[in-house]
Amino acid sequence: MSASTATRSPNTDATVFVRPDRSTMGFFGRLSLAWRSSLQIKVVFSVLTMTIVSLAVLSALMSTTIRDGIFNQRVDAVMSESARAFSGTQSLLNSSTAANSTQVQQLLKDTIAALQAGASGQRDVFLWRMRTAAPVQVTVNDVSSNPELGGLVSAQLREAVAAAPQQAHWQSVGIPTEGGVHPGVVVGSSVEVPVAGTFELYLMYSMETEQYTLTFLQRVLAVSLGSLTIVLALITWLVTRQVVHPIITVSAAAGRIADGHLDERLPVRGYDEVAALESSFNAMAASLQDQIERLGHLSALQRRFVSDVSHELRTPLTTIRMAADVLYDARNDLVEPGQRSVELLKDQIDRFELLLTDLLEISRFDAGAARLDIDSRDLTAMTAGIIEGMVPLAEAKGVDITYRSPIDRVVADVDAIRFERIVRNLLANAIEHAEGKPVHVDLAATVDAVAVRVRDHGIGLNSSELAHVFDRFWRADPARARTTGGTGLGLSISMEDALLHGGRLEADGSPGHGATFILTLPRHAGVGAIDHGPLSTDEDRDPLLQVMFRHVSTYPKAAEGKGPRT
Amino acid sequence: MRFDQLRMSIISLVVTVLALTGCATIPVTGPVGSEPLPVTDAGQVFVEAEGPVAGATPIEVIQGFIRAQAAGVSDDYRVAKEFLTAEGAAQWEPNKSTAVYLGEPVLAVVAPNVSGATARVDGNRVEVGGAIDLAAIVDQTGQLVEAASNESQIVSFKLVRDNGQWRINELPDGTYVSQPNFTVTHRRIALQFLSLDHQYFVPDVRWYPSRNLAGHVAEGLLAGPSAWLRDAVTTAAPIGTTLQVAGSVQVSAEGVAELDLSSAVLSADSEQQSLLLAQFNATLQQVPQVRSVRVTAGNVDINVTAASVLQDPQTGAAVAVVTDNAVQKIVDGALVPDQGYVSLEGVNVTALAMEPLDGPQSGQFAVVRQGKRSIAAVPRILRNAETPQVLIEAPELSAPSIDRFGWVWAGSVSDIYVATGEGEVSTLAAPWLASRTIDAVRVSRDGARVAIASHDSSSGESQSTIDIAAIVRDDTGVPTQLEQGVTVGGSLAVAHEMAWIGESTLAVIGASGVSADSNIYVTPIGDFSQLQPVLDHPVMITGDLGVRTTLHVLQNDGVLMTRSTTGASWTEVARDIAAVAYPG
Repeated sequence: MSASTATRSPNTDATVFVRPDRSTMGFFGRLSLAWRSSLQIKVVFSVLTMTIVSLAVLSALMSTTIRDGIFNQRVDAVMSESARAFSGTQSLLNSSTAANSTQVQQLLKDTIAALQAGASGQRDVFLWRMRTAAPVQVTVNDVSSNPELGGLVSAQLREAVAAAPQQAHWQSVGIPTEGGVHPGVVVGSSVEVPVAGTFELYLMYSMETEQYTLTFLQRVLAVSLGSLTIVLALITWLVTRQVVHPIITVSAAAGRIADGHLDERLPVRGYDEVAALESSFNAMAASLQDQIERLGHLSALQRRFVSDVSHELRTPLTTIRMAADVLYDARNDLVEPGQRSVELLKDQIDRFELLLTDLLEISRFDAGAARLDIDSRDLTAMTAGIIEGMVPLAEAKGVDITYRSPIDRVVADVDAIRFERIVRNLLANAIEHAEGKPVHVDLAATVDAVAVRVRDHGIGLNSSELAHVFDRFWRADPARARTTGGTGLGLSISMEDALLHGGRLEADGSPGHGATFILTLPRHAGVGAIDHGPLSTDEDRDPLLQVMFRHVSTYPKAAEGKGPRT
Repeated sequence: MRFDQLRMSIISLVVTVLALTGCATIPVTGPVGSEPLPVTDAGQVFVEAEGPVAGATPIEVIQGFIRAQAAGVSDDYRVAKEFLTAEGAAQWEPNKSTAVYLGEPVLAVVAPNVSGATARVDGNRVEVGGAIDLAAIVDQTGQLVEAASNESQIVSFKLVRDNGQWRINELPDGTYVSQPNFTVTHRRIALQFLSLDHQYFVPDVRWYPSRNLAGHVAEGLLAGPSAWLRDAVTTAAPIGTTLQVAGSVQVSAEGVAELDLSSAVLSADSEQQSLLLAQFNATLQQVPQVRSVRVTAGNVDINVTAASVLQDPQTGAAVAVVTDNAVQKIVDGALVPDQGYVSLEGVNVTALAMEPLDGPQSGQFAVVRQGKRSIAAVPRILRNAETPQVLIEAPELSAPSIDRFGWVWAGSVSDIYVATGEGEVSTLAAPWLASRTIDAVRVSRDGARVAIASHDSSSGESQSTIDIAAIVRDDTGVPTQLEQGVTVGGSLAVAHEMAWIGESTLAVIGASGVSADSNIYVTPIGDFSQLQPVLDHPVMITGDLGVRTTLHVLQNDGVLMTRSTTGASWTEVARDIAAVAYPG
């Protein structure tokens, strides 16, 4: 038997390693295939995923903490600076001698200028009369350093300042600039201005620098965590390679051993687990090699023995045969018991010879010495010829043979002798076991393959018999009368012949309903495995059902010497 | 061996990692770094205005209207017009003039007769009037004239009910702005025109709104000098040059002012264009954000180098005094005799004047006033003259002043005398001085303007005025005419002596109406006078550019004082000084 062949569906046999065909897959199919077929990628991917998730959580936490820290720090600084500004402004206003609205206006203007200049950074100042305070009859204008930003001071802040004048109130605002909206903080409190009454004083600070700092930190964080992830992936890749590499080496060596290079060994280095694996692998390979060689040797011995024996037996058999023929020719001269004996002798010698031929044939298969003699032949005619040759036997058994074949000739590259042997053997078995019921022979072909189906409706085979039907020397019913003289090796030889062509021989059947044998051969020499043959054991499931059989003949012919119906 | 190598590499790796992490701290030492200090503009202050409040009384409406006028410059009086009826808004002309006021406008209901400013008024019509204390009046072109110290203006508003609310129906043209608001919303700019010989800039002081300042300034410069300066100065802008887009000058972020002029400017030759560019540079760089000027005419770039015109330079000379009967200089605080002049023994020197260094005799020409009746030139020793040559003889002569063309100016009663060193004398007509007595005459450094302090001798009160007049000269520089210009120092009641200490600034010995003592004031043209630290009995004053280091004041006891560099005090320079003068 040859080595295992590729099967259609990859997962039908779980002990066989099969890689799916890449060319039929789309992008995601190929991606998923890459993922499933590489241990390294799986490990790296899981490490990457876990790293990214944990780093993302970490960076979010860090970002939030930093943001809170920066913001709170700045707000504290702003509040203390503003508190100083408010109390300083109030004392300035208290010590002012402004007595009329013009002087108060000048005072307000100077206050704004002083407040603007007094900050550690840029700040905008708004000094507005408090709405809710009692109105005063003075013409003093509200002043500010940037009236356009005045809208950012919300009504809530103004209410809070009006409600609790002794406190400083603050609120976050968004300051619009050309680059977008920048964060800022407005701090407000109330001050008493001479003559003009209560005013609200607002200081607006920009948090732009804090935002820049935060963005900068986030960027640094992102870059460093990103590069950390990449480096980690790289490291994982390299580390897993160290582990995966020995696995690949061992599997390559195992593959070579499976292919037949039994000498393949792995070099063992060091003392770690990999070395332990390698050394036990080597031990197993050595033991396997030893056993296989011994078995091979034994079977070679056996085969040679059978071959030698068959050959050795030939010589005396020829002599015995010659002597038997002489006796057979002179049988009429013998007394009764002698005549019978001689006939018996001839029969048995014939049988013996057949057996010996078959044995030799089998032993040739076993030794791998069988050779195909391929020719392009017309199988339709050949099969017809074989059937005609079996007609006497069929008539003797009272069996009709129906032969269906396609209209066109079926031409295929076959070894004619072997083909005939197979078909003859199948037909002989069918006629034998037909129990008088008709036998159907079908010939069909596809582009790649041809098939011959021999079907009988006789005794049939049960499933355990089907399992052994192609075994050597196996007979379904040993007590059955052997009128055609079988050696028990017929189906085995047929099977070997079919396999030699690169085809196959299948059997099916059920007790009482008969048996079906299908021979499927490749149509052209050199073609490898054939997936679908033209015929199936179940007639109703024939792939090419009614199309092909246009040519039907029946054997034996209906009466006196008419040719086959066409 | 391999194990040892491994161990060494691990140790070195650990050491490197520790060293790298240890570097991440804020440094505590380092090299010196330098950066130029940026020029920071002072923060701007804005005034805000609100519309009328529902249920306001007529007086509250007028007060709100006046408040809104302060902010009106930046929003085109949109908020202020909310206080007016439609009729009032249609006929009101806010840009006609601006009255800058002090204190608080005192308003009261005039009609119907209701007593008290806050009494409720029924009915649909009311007239409110009051007095506003003026600080200055600014006319349509932006020229500011300081008001007298107790000058006030009476205003009158008529209000009607409009949808249940009081609104102003009749009102005077012009706006009222308090002084602090005025200085916030407007800015003092000196438009630079050229003297007739293109050597000096002559400033024309205006006030323009801070908003779109560059645009207003450019338009003002292209509109030409004020009427009184017109014959004394010239401008390099060809007639009919305007901005392509009226009132629009873009100032880029780097401080480049983009001036897009009409094509008339292309008709000027390159010398004129370079003078024009110099004018624009000198004028527009007074606008805060502007650092340089780029002039284009349509798509043509006017690419000339600006001419160098003298703008109010320092005289470069040391102060000259007359002491010990000789003309001496004070150099580094020490008296240095000037050997070039004859001795002044026997001469009753009461005033001194020196020629500017760019005059015909390169600063050598000196005159003294003898007593009060004559002005004589102090001869140079090389000229072989022994005694001073009398140039002008007249009663009650003011202290002399020499312009850069070599003319000596002095005032006597109502006449202005001008004389050269060769003895040519003539009088200039100044019709507005007809009934006044001249106290001091000083010519500005550019030779195109003269400051004349005079008082009215006919009425009982002697209220002084300082006039700036434009000097009209002929081609040879001979003064022919005076044009009356602006008055300065309106808040001063009395002005005795003056000196030019800047292109448009005078230092005056005078008194405000409050007390009779003489004090030193710095009175800029078109701005408010500022009192300087007190000094007893100042009689003579002279100064170079600036107030701090060069202002010299002679007291009546002959002590010469000067301002200290910091602080508010005077330091003594010399004693027994008869007269002191800087060139000019």
